[in-house]
Amino acid sequence: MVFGDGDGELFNRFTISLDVIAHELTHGVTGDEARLVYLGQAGALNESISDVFGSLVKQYVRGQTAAQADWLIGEGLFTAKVHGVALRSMKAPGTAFDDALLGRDPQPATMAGYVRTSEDNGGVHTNSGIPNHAFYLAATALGGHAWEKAGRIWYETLRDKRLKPTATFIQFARATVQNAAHLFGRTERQTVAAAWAEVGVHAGT
Amino acid sequence: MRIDFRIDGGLAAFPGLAKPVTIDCDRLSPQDNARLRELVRRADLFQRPRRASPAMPDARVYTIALDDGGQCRTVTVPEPIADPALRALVDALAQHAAAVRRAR
Repeated sequence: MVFGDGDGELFNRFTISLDVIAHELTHGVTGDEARLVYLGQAGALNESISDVFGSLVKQYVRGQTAAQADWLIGEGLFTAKVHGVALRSMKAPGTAFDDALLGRDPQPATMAGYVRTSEDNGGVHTNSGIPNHAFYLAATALGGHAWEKAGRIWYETLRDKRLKPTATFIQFARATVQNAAHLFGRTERQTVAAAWAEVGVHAGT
Repeated sequence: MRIDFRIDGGLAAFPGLAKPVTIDCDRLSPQDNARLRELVRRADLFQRPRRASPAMPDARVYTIALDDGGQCRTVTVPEPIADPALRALVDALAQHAAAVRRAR
């Protein structure tokens, strides 16, 4: 598990952020369960799962519904010198920061913005914006607390034996759609499929 | 002596930090120049493997491309860095890189 130090200049101490702590712990869970390789789309899914459960922990502690949550990851980590609110936004990928030194939040919200790069293991912290946004859309459409349905579906998918370590976005999406049907029913299945479709991953209805 | 320094990975994607920075030792103050050369000497980059084992999730990976006027060597080093000499070099390079970025 790696946190890194805040440098005091741009970043506060990383451990002040509950969702970041939960994000790191979730990498351990993913490493034991789906074992998604930290590269390309599988790596972006690995990153997204950490953001999903990171955010759910924060929401749970605050007792927030999906509608009430801010869906920000790492809020409060920037010092006052930085023009930005958080490391990432699941609700609005690409809007978390826009700073002279850090640059602009590079996350896409949909497949139209998918970034092909060799940096960052194929952009795992960048393209995670797409599955992040799918989760946000599913959770808010399903309503209530995000962990009750969306979180449960995603957790079962993480533990799904059919999910390979090299899973692509579409393979993961299909598994969430199947698990939504299996755990809840047709409405939930369609809601999850629609969320993925909205980010450009067509996993079937 | 010139060093191209890059930081990849970490907790989040920051385009501004991911761009490589060139540190030209001869453009530093004589004190900084001497100190950096000493850190490079102690880190003994030419004896290190070019690429270390894969990094853990969210770990930063540092790429140090050294051109000492005679030889070139590129070394990729993930966090956490156990070796104190390498750690000291990376810390110094990160500070110089931050100064270069601020001046841009």
